[in-house]
Amino acid sequence: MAYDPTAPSQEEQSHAYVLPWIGLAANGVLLADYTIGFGQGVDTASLAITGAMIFVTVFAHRYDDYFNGLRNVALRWGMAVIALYLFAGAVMGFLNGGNILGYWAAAGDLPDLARGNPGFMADGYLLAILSGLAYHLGFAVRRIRGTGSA
Amino acid sequence: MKNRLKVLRAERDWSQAELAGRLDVSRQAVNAIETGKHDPSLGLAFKISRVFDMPIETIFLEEED
Repeated sequence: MAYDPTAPSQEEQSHAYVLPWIGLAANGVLLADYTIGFGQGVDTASLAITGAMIFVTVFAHRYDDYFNGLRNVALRWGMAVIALYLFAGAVMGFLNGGNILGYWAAAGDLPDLARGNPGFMADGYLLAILSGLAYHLGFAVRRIRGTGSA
Repeated sequence: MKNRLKVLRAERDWSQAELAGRLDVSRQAVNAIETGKHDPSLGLAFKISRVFDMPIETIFLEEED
């Protein structure tokens, strides 16, 4: 095989496996900060670390076979959360539509439309935290349980 | 999929790190393959076959249901 001077060393490849754990910790802090509220400093630091860890692990293409297998699983988990979030929005939309139709049929006028939309469905920041957390959890769980034929 | 990687490595008295170095992967990858947590890609399977100088089908064994 041709010599590649920019290829990552074995040690560099081993260090890459630490990154998702750091990302998971930072992502957990981010979720706790979202629910409890630690303050601006914690918020900014965990945002930076989480974003950096996702970026590095998703876009670096020179990791080894096993890392790529873990990343595939992690990406599936992250995207699954986005899909569930969108699907939940659709279900709520249908339910809301049914309620509006029922109200209109019974009362003859339209209800307050803003009441039917739960606020969290429009919260992109929460979605980003949850999908990031699912990505890191997917990585961690598969690291423990194995990727199988990824 | 089962494999004989651990046995073959032991026969040559190689550590996981040494085999990882020969395969250009991390030690974690070798460990995951040995413990059955990860099935390698076709490219890596060929590389393993070259390192041990053995056909792939004698290293990796299909599990029967």
